[in-house]
Amino acid sequence: MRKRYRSIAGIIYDILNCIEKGSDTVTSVSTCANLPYDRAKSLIEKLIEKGFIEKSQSNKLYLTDKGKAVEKKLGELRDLMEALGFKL
Amino acid sequence: METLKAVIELALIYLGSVGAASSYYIFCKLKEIYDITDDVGVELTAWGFMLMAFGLLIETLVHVAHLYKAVYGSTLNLPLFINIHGNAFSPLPPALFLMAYTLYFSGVYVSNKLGRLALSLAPATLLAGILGEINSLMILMLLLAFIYSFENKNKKFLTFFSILILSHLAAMVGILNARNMFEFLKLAFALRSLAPTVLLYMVMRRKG
Repeated sequence: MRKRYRSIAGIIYDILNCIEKGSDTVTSVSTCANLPYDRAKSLIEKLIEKGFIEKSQSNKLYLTDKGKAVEKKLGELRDLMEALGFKL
Repeated sequence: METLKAVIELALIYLGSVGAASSYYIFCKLKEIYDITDDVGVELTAWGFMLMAFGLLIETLVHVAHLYKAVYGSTLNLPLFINIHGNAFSPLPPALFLMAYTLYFSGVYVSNKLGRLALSLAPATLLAGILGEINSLMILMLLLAFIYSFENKNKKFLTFFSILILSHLAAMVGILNARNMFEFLKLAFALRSLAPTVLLYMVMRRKG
């Protein structure tokens, strides 16, 4: 089967969306967002650095207010991105 | 006759301003996405739209000069313009559009990891170089994007590029047809201005 590529915006949206829906570990996010574990881990670390995601004391992932706003914004801009030819 | 000319120029100025504003709006939205994702492809595409907005703005200024001529009878001379048969004309917008499309496609191809499609720009550029006409190069670039979007059944992308292809076809016919050159160039400008506006309209309409 042909591999389906997504742009980084699409992948980040999927990760944030998965965490919003309850995925709270790197493994569950990688399964939910259909990403290899290492890729999911490095992207989650990057999103933690940007302040979109935080880790609780029990090491569970959750979205910050900034992360929720970004997830909403990416959701709103999905149509525009797709219309311009980006794969999401 | 002069009144009709002035009305047409006024309509073109309106279309051009809305088109430039739409392109600038798309630039701002893409910059927002870049700030979130650090995706170089999105940044390249954003700057493509900035150049498109700038190109449309200069073309709109050309039509302001035509309106000035239709109303006051004298030619408005600005450093950006050259005059052909007493009509203001700027050589800058085609170059800006070419750069805008190059940035746009590079951005989309980088972001979607479409190396093969990016490489296909090379023979298109070569062929257009042999044809020796900037509009033919732009048509070829847009056709490639059209074929790619056809595969992906992306209707908005298809509509956007169909309008742009028609616009450059009209410009090409205009340049080859000296008698009706300015009518065709006006049609090309109207279509080019409509493309980003129609794209935004389709995206916004779906959002409700």
